[in-house]
Amino acid sequence: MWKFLGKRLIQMLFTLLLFQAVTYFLIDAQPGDIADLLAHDPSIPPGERDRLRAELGLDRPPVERFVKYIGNFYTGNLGVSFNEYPRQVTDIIKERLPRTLVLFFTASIVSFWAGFMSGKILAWRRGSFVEYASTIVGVTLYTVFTPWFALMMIWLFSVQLGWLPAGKFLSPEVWITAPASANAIFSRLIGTGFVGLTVMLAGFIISNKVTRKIRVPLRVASIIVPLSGALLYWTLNGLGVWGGDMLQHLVLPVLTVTLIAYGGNMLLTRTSMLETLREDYILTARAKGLPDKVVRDRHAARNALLPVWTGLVFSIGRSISGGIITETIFSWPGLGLTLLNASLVADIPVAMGTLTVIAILTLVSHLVADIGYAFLDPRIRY
Amino acid sequence: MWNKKWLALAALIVVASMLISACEPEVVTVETIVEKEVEVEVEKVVTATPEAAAEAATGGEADVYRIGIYEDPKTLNYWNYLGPGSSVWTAYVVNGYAANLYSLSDQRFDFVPSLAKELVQPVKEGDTWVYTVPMVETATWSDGEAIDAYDVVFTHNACKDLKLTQNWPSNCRPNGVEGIEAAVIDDYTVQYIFPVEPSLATWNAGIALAAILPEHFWKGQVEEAYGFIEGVEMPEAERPEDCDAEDLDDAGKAACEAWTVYDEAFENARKTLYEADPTGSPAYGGFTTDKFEPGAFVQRTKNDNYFFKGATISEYDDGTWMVEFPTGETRQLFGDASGEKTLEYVSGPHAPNVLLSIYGSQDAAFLAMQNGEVDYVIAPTGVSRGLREKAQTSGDIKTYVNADYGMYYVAFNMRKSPMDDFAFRQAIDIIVDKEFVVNKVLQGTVFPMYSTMPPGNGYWHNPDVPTPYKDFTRAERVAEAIKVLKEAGWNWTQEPEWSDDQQDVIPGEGLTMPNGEAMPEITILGPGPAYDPLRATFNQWISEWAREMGMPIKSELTGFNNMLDPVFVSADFDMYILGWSLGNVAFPDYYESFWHSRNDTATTGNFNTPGFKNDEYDAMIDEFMSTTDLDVAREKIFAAQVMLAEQRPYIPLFYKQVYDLARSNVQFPYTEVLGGIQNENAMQTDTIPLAQ
Amino acid sequence: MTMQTNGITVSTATHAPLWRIRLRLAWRSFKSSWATFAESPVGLIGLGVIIFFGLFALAHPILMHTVWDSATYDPQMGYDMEIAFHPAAPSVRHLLGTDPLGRDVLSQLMYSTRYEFVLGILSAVVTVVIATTIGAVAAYYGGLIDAFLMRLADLVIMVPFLPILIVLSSFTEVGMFELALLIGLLSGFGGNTIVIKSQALSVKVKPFIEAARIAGGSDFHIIFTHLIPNLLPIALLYMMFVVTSAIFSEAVLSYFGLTTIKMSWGIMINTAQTQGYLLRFDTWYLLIPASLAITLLCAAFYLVGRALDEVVNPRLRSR
Repeated sequence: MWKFLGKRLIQMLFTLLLFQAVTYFLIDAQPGDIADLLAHDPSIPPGERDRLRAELGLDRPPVERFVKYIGNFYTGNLGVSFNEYPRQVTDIIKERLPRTLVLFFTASIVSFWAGFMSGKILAWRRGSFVEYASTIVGVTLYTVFTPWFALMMIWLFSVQLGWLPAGKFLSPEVWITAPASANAIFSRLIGTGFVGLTVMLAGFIISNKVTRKIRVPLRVASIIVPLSGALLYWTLNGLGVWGGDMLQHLVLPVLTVTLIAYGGNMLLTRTSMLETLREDYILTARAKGLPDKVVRDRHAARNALLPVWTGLVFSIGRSISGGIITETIFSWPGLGLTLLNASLVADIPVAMGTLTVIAILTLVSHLVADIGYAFLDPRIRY
Repeated sequence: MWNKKWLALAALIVVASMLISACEPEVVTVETIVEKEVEVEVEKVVTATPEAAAEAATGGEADVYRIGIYEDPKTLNYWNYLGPGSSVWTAYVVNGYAANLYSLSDQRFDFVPSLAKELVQPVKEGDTWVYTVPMVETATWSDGEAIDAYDVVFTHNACKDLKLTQNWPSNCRPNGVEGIEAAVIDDYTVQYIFPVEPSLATWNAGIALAAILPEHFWKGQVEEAYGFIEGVEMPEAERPEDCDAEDLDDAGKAACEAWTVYDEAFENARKTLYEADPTGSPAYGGFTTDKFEPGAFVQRTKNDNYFFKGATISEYDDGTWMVEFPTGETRQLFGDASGEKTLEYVSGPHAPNVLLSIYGSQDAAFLAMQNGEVDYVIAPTGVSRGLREKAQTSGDIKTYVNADYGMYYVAFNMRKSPMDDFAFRQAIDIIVDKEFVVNKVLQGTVFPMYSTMPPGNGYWHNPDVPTPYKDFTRAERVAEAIKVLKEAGWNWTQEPEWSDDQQDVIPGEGLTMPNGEAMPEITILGPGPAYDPLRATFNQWISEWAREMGMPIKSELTGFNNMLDPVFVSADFDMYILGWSLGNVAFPDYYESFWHSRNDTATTGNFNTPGFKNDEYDAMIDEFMSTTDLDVAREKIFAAQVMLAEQRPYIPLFYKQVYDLARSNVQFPYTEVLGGIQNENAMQTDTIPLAQ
Repeated sequence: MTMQTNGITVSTATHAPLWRIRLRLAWRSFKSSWATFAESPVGLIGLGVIIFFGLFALAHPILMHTVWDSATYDPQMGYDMEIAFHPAAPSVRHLLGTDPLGRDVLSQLMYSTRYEFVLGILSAVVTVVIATTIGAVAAYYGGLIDAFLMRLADLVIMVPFLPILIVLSSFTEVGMFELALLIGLLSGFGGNTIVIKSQALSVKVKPFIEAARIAGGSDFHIIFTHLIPNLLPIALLYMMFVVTSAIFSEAVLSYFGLTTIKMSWGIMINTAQTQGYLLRFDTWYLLIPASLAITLLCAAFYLVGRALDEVVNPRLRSR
């Protein structure tokens, strides 16, 4: 296992390096650098453009710049943004990454869970009207034109019903008097969510090991305790107003991304379940006269989980890029939006930084997927 | 059993609380910061609340003026803002941070004193020209420190000595004039010494408007920046052309090294200043920026020390400009205040707070305005038609329309054939039916343009620029273009012809140029329909009409970034369509940037993209740039407009109107102004948001 | 072609020419595949939608030559002079109204359909050509070549699709053709290669490959006449999903104003957006038809892909 991990880490590092090289030269090959864009103003005197270029280091040949960039990168210096000169790229990423992560992790987990649950039931009920109807819904969600769908959600929930705010991640008027920065409060929210989920999960895992009689109350408790703990914490720390405001703004984008991702997860589970159901051991289980629910949930679903798990992992990288759409429409200043703007103005350090973060996330999630396999499928050993 | 269950529950609670407290230490650091900020916040609230309450009681004014913007400011540091951190959005956020001696008046853009007591004339002393400017003695920064001559000289010297970049040069060496000195005469008198006779371009549109920043706040950071260039001297050897050249001799290498050291010293000095922390820097204008939540909003607080606060500004139709201060002191210029009053307002700041809320898109911002979440949305890229129509049907939102100070045009590369042929450019001008595209296809959302000066700039616009083809029908256009081309020696194997039956042109074939060769294929570069449907539409129509004439012209729609290199760097294009926003209304120096032969893009990388080279024009513009007489300057620009309309390096196509959409509770000091309300200085300070 | 898959040995002594036998066999296998395909109603629905859009696209040039006069109905340069105000609501003259620049929406929708097909199919073909070639080569040779190609695939999978398209489109001219190539390249070198390679591995160990090798067939010959034909069914399946993602990507890029395509469904939505008609529901005809068309056609190819999956992958069949 350790040997496997070590080997994988080295491979990952190599892949990352290759990725950085490819993307760096791709971005660099854009015609018209940022100096042309920033100094595109006749009232800026002649010569300023070249001076700016020199100041940003753009007057050096690309290979030289790349070597320097990589050297800096692996010593923790991601450079200075061209467009928001002289702001540190690390600073920009630190500010925006959490927002993206919260949005997409929440959506990924919820859609994974919901998609898996409904997918396995669908496969079981093959050929029924419910299956066809849900397939249509699933395919529609999977292929719907995302910008349009997001707009429809805004129209429905904030324009027509007025339940939720239409965009942004906070209401400025509430936040004028906020005692801490949005990011400080946001990281507390993340902390609370993380602790709450850990407690909940721990409760459920313990509940599987105890006798049936205390199982149910234990499960109830492991839902109620973290929830009330979180509530208590946010009432006592005096920041509840701002935390709540952020949560309220989180609902619509999370709902939208979840629905979009849900379709894919459901369809994948269904296909995977269908394949599993043809296996001999399922026939055996059925022949033994085990109840349907047991065969479905204990025998089939567990094996069908494997490809869906892969799908989830792959979707993390993809959902961040898909985030460009959602983030633009919901005025959600996360990583996707940052990348879009940075590539439009040839802000090489920021574009590189963002792409690299996405690449690292993808690489790590692939690693997690492989480790996950070992847990899901006892036949897999590293 | 139950006991066990409760035990388990209790255990869980303990675990949960432990986990929560476990993450507490990491939060503790945040906690201390939080407390500090609370204190600061409380102070602010204390100063703001009584004001707000008082005003709400008397005038029903809202305590926050909410403005929608689309992008984060790049910086809050004013040094950086005039340097690499400049952007439209940053301008709104740092507005008022710098003071100035003179400014341009409301609506009319007249040159008027602000911190200077009066208009002054230069005095020739030996080889130099000297402006001695008396400053007001009662003006203070928002922190109560006096604004004095030391601040003026401090800012001027920092700009000059550190060779500050981008927009700074026009603040200390405008128009390329080096060696302008500033000196303190006494606390409130400053002197500028010019090595050459100061023209309108260097004084009125340059030094006199320069930014002034508070010495007492920035002194430390500027000194730190000076530290980098201390003792660094300009190398004696000339700067080598190319330091990467392989055949560089030893002297060349030494020169390169010396220059590198020199450049780096200045780079480090500037960087130090550009990244200096601006927190708490005092402002001159109506508001200080106190809180910036990236991606969400910027909050600004009223500056009660603003010099003009409470002053009444009025203008009369005889040209008079007048300021009456609450103390009873008045300033009056350009007339004796006879005739109708055209403008009167009381200077702010009025609203206790300005909240600039950042939205991801125009749609989101206007949705917010409709829901009453913002009072006014700044839209420098224009408000799209659909949103405008919708706003007009809503009772709560008012639309203000003004002419834009900009120009959309098609340019010819006059370095190439056949674009260098006068008749060819004239023929294109004839066949381009601006009125049709503007009024029909674009539904009158923009206006056809004939002179290179937008008519909105009344002082400089020459109304007598000839428009010979304005009301031509399609048939007349085709006939006229054929005539012009044939006279110049162009020929067809089959002439194009207007057919009355089909109401269309029967395309010409086999077009040859005066030298007998077939006309080469040429392309019109332009932004694609996704970037700007207006220009894309115009582009396609122009090439369509040209093809009917038998000219092998095609539209190449591309991204703006892809046009930068062929148009502005290598000047390798045939024709292109783009637009300009024209800058200073009071002094249109773009006539030099765009068409003076010394700014040819191909040789200098400047902005004369067509490669227009005309000695008569150059002389005209040289005189315009060096004159000290406004009337002469105007005469020259009038003549230049006629000449450009004749020579056609550009064919102006259209100009836009600026739409400002605001909720009806917003009271702007005035709403009629070239470039729109969003271009007004008064837009934040002098506007009164009423409670809804 | 289908000889080996169906496991039928054809005697060389028959009198009929070989191509006719092959054709007959192909027809037979098509019929049985069709029967499997037709069992799935979703597949049939998908196919129906695709055929509908196909006819829709074909109808455009016919309409332009007969009923629609080009000055009014041209999807890019048309302008209806008889209507004073554009965008105009649906009427008999313009069944789906006109856009803000006075062009007929239905005509734009139909005209764009053609290009969506071209884009989808072109990028799918590029993908399949690349993915099968690389998959087959990697599986056949194994070793260093395999390792290199698979690491390349890992790299391409890691590249986030949309961001890289955005980056690329900001520095090259991205028209329909370039976009199709880009999408084809990215999806050809990525995940599809891995799937096809695993299929190729299972074909490689089949006896007929060994037989061909013993008979003295060159590597090139074996890969292109024995290995690849057996990969085509699964490649066809993945083609469908590539079509879906190509159409979707074009729409998103155009929506953000990143392509230089002159007319497409994405451009139609972009026009509605830049002209400010995005959040207005009285002008639904500027937004809904194009959005719906994108979703429908993407979904249709996806459904067909799924039904094909049941044909190609016997384990999925219901009985």
